[in-house]
Amino acid sequence: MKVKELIDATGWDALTLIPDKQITSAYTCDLLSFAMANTQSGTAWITVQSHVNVVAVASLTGCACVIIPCGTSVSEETLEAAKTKDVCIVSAPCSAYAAAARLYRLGIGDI
Amino acid sequence: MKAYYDLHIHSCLSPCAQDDMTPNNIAAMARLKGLSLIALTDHNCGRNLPAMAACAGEGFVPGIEVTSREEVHVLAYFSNVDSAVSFGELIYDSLPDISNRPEIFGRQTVTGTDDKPRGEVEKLLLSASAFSIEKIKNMVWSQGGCAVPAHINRGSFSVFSNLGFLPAGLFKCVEISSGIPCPPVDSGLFILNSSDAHSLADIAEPENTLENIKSATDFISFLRSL
Repeated sequence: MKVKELIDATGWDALTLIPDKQITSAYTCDLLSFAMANTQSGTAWITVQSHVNVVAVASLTGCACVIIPCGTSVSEETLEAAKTKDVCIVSAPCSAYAAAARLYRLGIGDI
Repeated sequence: MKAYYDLHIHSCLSPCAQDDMTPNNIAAMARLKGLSLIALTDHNCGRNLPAMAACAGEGFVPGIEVTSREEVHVLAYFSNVDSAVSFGELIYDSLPDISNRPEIFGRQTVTGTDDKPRGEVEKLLLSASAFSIEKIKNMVWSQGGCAVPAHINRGSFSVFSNLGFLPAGLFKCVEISSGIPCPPVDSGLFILNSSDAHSLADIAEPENTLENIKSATDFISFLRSL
């Protein structure tokens, strides 16, 4: 599934430009050290962390998008960095669990 | 002149610290161990700093271990108790309205210089403050202090575990925990090794030194000059 299709299916809010990228897996963790080790190209990474380092990690591993659940605010600094590095940030109003469940029902599996 | 230091110690105000971590006990144990520069760094609150300062004397650095919104622990050091206490109140006010449950987390005791309890702090001090790590660094700096990320190589509540790596250029000094592996850090960073003592026995042995630093003023001047 493409990131655009995810946005259309869920109604979640893309805070940056939507890239033409395929989502091939999903991963949920708020510790960036774990995310660095476990996300990969095409991962939709769900994390409540919205620090600017999230952008660097997502860029490093090639995440298809970062989903920030619980409607957590994302700083301008993080959004600016995301735009610069072509990282897609998506805001979801639901919990991380509900976001993961939604992705699973849409056919996206584990890494 | 060398100062043996331990710049990360918790008192009985921190729920996770032992109840006998009272100002006189901490000061006495530090003297016994030959430390001449110590800091009290309770979680997200500075209400034991006045009593600790009175008991510890000249080589005392007032501090607070702040939990950032990313749940990273950052040591905020100040040259005087008043600045540290008022900064601590800003942090405390930003904590979520979750009450401590002493039977689960431990007591959060404010003491006088006689070590006797003066009361307990209501909100749970282990919660995260509302401020990002960058905001904390800037708040501390603007109030004349200096922020140092704590135990950056720990598996929890650390820059490395929670944020993956040190945000570029943000800090000039970091605290590294001894005895556990640490990824290479920028050679330009000044490194502190303190105990993070939660019990009297854990207060550092005289192993780590700073040159020509005798007081909080000296220490803050040094940190801010890095």
